[in-house]
Order: sequence, then structure tokens, then C-alpha cells
Amino acid sequence: MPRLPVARTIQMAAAFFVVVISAGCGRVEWNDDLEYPDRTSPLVQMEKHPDQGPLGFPPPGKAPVVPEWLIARGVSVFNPATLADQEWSARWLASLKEEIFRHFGSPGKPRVGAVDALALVALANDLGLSEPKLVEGARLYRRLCVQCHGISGDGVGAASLWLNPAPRDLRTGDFKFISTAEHKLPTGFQPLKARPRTEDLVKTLKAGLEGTSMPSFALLGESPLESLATYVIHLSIRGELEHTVLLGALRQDRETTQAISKNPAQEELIRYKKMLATTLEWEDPDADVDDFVAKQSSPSVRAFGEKYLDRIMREYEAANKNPIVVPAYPYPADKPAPASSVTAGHAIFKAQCVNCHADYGRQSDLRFDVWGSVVRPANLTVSQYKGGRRPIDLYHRIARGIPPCAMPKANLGDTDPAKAGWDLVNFLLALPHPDQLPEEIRPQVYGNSAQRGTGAKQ
Amino acid sequence: MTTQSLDMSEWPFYAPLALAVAGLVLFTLAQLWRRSWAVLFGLTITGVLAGTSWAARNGLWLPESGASIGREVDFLFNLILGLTTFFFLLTEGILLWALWNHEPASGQSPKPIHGDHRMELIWTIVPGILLAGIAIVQMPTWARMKGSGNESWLSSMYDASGDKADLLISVQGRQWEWRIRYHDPALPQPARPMEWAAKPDSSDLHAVNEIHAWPGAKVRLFLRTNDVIHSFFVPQLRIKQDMLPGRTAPAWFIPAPADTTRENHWEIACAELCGGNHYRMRGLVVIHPDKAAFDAWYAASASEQSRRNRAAVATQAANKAS
Repeated sequence: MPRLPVARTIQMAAAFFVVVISAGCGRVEWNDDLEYPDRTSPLVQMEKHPDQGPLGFPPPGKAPVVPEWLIARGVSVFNPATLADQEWSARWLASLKEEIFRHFGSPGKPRVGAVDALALVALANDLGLSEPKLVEGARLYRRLCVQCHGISGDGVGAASLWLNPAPRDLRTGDFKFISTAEHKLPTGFQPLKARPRTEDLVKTLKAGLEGTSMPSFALLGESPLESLATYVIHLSIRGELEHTVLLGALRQDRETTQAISKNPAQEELIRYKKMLATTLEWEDPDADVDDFVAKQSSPSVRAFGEKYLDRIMREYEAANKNPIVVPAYPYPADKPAPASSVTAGHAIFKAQCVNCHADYGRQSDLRFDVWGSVVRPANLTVSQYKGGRRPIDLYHRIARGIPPCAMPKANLGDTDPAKAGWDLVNFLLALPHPDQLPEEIRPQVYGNSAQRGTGAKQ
Repeated sequence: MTTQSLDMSEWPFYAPLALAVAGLVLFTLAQLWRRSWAVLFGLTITGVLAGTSWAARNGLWLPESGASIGREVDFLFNLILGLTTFFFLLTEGILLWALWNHEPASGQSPKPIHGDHRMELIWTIVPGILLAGIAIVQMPTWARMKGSGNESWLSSMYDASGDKADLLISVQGRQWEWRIRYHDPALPQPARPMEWAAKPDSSDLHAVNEIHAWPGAKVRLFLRTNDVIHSFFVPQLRIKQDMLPGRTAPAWFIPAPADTTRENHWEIACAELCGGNHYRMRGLVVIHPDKAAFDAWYAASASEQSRRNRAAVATQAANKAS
């Protein structure tokens, strides 16, 4: 038997151990010198949710937004790459990229508000968007969230194509499960967009979204979750500024197209004024767009960006101070919900909710949400609630609706809205459990042979 | 050591000794190099033994048991570990002896033992007896772990008409978290707990990733999975149970932590590779100091969710708003 080469064997063994040991050393975090990618995904301009919903979900492995489906239903979908074709829009693109970097930095060094924009930085600090928190949040995000939500919060991370519902695209600034509602300032002209409070985002991170792929991160602890929520706000504001400027350069509403067709040479100015109008007028109906423009030598994305960020952050500030006011529970708190309340809730449900939650949600038709992806109105007989199962969570859904999915808020009438709201909550909580429904309602929901155990659609 | 007492002024006297020591070292090294295979195996085995004993003394061993069944499980574990260690050392020792004494350079060829019936009988019958012994010794423990032993409160695993468990908990694994559901301990238990495990009651408490109990609580678990195979593993409770899609796996434990003056926190780890974030599928078993502490926790959690105390929650929100 030939003698085995000992030295070589030892070398091989050492090499083997190095390989085995370093196998656990994958790149868990992305590098700190990473930059946010430019937006290339299509922009959906959903002024009005299309009447005709989609026929099915996109197949697994395909992007959640299918532009052809939307275009066929009259929704405008734009490709940001076309902006490079024109001289003025290419200038906007370059200037937008610069602005976004100035205000938001990079994933390794995130911030909100440029160093020289003192007012914005002060607003950001008031909202708790301080740099150390953002840095910690960004690090956690890159470790835990990026797989699904993407590095820029675009909702198309590596795993996203196989998930249904698709991960949230944070870049439109829309949120579904929050405790604030669209409302107007006392002096306001336009309604404020509903913004999440930090605790809403922390709640979602803690509980996960039941029925979706979003798991719970509760074991991280309170402070890291808050940093993570802070970073989500950073991503959302950043994406929204990008989204708004791109859409401003691309939008095709009737007013804008008509003005441009009359005066094609002025396209840049027309679009700029349109974009400014909604931003300046949100709290002051008398704001003079022309005056604002006249103070600049030419349309400037920088001037718009600062105005717009100011608006967004003050909306966040307003949201933090104005959560939905939940009225006191009108029934004895220590007893089960009275049958009369469940019955009254059922009547409201029959009148307002069944159009979308057909057959109590068991046969809902699919819809498009504001992102252009496909959603299904919830099946309310299975006791599974994405936005949380606490009564107050259900009250929030009812009181605000879920505007990004075109779910309107419930009309609770003028006589006793508090009672009506809680009646509806009581009915919804009883709905999945046949034994909790009053005798006369049970057959309407579960048929005549209803017994305990038929509630869930298996 | 002797080197410290060396007096350099007497160097000439020590010179032959130093030369002799150097020669001995060189000779040993040469001998060792000639027998390098034996050295390599010897060092490996010594290293493994030293590492294991070091790990065992430094908290890298099986964590201290916190379960009523822990003593029995640990007895079996130590028994099997002892037997296998003994035979491991025996066979490795023989191997080492052979390597040391029969290095290839000596030119000796070994005596072939292929087809030696006596030896084959020995190494078949001895392990056979040992394995049969282990199989018999572990039977009562295994029966108890699987709920068919003499635990009266588990005697009707699939139809618990006798209300004997303190807590019924449904654990639903999914990529990548544990969804926990408690049957309200204040209410009578369902006649068919396996059905309850599949379908929530309106009075259930829902939680994520946290199982709460108290020392001495009789806890029945119903383990299910939403997607792929997971495995529910709590080393301190000496439970490891796979969760298969479409099936409900019953399990149970009675916490018996060594220190009941504080909350014990034990990790639930998924022990079946279940996808990209398998490493992140962690949960927590929280053993409160006593039942009162558990009840307080349960009441606080339930008041957030339950239909009864919604008014309190609503009032809090209203106060915050104003």
C-alpha cells in the first residue's frame, strides 16, 4: 500500500475546515457604500379606481403590477425611462436625483432633510427621524426587510415575485393599516393625506400581517422596532418625493394634456405649475403659484422638493396629533355584545359592505389597489384580519376605510355614529363564529344547516 | 519548573544535560514524524474529548432542564452518551495502538482478520444486546413524552372530555414565525381539542412567537404548520416535535424551572430547515414565577383583544387624542 502524503492531508484538512467555517459568513448585510437605485418601475396614476377589477392574480414569479391589465381598464401607466428623451425632462431627472441624495443620503448614511435645509431638519427631528435612529433602522432593514421590500422600499425584493399579497411598495406614501384618517386642517383647503403614526408601524412590525407573508418581528425589542419604523418613514418620504416629481413630468390628466396641446413649448412650465398647485394650496387656498414661480429663474425641482417635503412632514406631524377618535363603547363593557347590536351591525353591513365583501367576503371580486396590484376584499368569515384583530383595529378600518384599496369608510349616519360604529364592530367580531350570531341572522350567513364548525371556508 | 531554577553560572555543568535533552527532543520528534498518522489521530481524539469536556463545563451543553420530564430524558441521554463514549474510546484506542505499533515503514504486513467468525459474533451480539437494552429502557419515557403514558390528564388525547389540562395552546408555524392561540383558561375546554386546534373560538387569545405558562402548569400543545415542515424545539423543555402540513401534532409539557423566583425565558427554535430565513424563526417560552403572574399577563393581553374591554381601549385612545 503506498504511503499517504501526510503533509498534503493536513493541508487539505485545514482547507476543508476553512471552507466549512466560513460557509456561515455570507454577506448578511449590504455594504454601507450602497446607493439607492433610480426608479425604473412603472408609475401608476390611479385617479379613480377602475370599475372593472382584474380577472385573477398575476402568476407566481411575475411582478405584482401588470401594466397591460391597468391600461386596458383606462388607468395610466408611465415608464420613467421615457423622461430621458426630452431635454427639459432629462434636466428634471438629473436634478431630482441630486435632490433626493441631498435630502435622504444613501442606505448607509440615511437622513431626512438636507444639511442646509434647516427647517426641514428641524421638522424631521421633531418627528423622531434623527440620524442615529435612521442608521440603526437602515442596518436592520438591510438585514431583515430587504429580501421582500427591496433596498429602496419598492416592494420588489428578491423574494417578492413569489409572494401573494405582494410586499408593500412604500414609495407612494400610502398606508393601509393606520390609526389616522384623511382630514382637513381648520384653515385647510385640501384634505391631508393620512400618514401613519410611528406606533402604527411598530404595531405592524410587532404583530406582522396575519394572512400575508409579513411575519412578526416582536422579539427584536421596542427600540430597534422604533428605529425600523423610522427608517420605513424615511423610505416612504423619499420614494414619495421621487414618485411625485416623476409623475408630475409624466401625468396625463385632461387639464394638463389640453394645456400642453395648446402650448407645447411651455410643457415644462405647465407641468411645474400643476405640480406646485397641489403642494402650495394644501393649507392656503390663496397661494399664488405664479408668484412662487416668478421668484425663480426657471422651474426648479429643488424649490419644489423643499416645499413638498415640508408638506409631507407637516402631515406626519398632524397625523401624530390627530389619531382617529374612537368613541366610548356604548354597551356594558363587561358583558358580551348584545344581540340587538350585532343585528344592527348586520344591517349596516348588508347596506354598505356586501358590494365588495360579497357573501360576507367569501366570494369577493378582485380589485386593483392604488399601487396597481391585485387585492381581494377580505373574507370576513375566517377570523383573520391583516390589520389586527383587536376591536379597536376593526374600528379604525371602519372609520377610515382603506383608501389605497378603494375601501370607503363606513357611513355611520348622523343619529348615533358611535353606536353604529361599535354595532358594526360587534357584528364583524361575531361573524366568523356561528354560535355568536343571533338566531335570525345565522341562517343568512351560514344557511339553515349551520352548526358550529362551518364558519371557516376550508 | 526546572528551567526557572537553572543557574547560568553553572552552565558548564548543565551543558551535557542540555545536549541530552535536545537530543531526546529531536529523537522524539523524529519518532513522532515517523508515526505521524498515529499522532494526527491521537491529537484529533484528544482534541475532540478536550473540546467536549470544555464545552460541557462552559454552558455549551444541553441546557438545564425546565420540564417535569427532564430528569428521565436526561437519564436516557446520559446513558446513551455514556455507552457510545465508552465504545468510541475503546475502538479509537485500538486504532491508535495499531497505528503506533505498525507504522508502514517497519515493513510488517498485518495479519488479515477477514472472515473471523468469533470476532464477527462479538461485534454483532454485543451491540445487539445493548440496542435491545436501550430500546426497552426508553419505552416508558417515550410513552410519556408522546402522551400515552400514565399522565391522567393526557389519557384522552383525542377527546378530552375530562377538563384536566391547565392550558390548551395551538401553535401554528409558518415561514417564519410561530402563531400562538390560547384557549381561554376560564372557559370549559372543548370536547374535541383537535378540532379547536384547527379553528379558532371567538374567545381565544391570539399572540405571536410567545408561549406563556407558569411552573407546574399542565400545558397541551397542538402543533400545526401553514406551509412547509417546521419543527418545534425547546431544549429546556426537552421537546422536539416536527410539524407536518395537514396534520396536527399533539405535545405537552409541565414547566419545572430550577429558579421559580423570576421569569424564565427559553428560546423556541425551529429545528427543521424551512427556508431562507429559517434561522430567524425564533420564539420565546415565558415561564412566569407563579400562576397569579400568568393570570395578570393573560388578563392584560386579553383585555386588548377581547370584546369585553374594548371600551377601556377606546377611552384610552380618546384621551390620547384630546
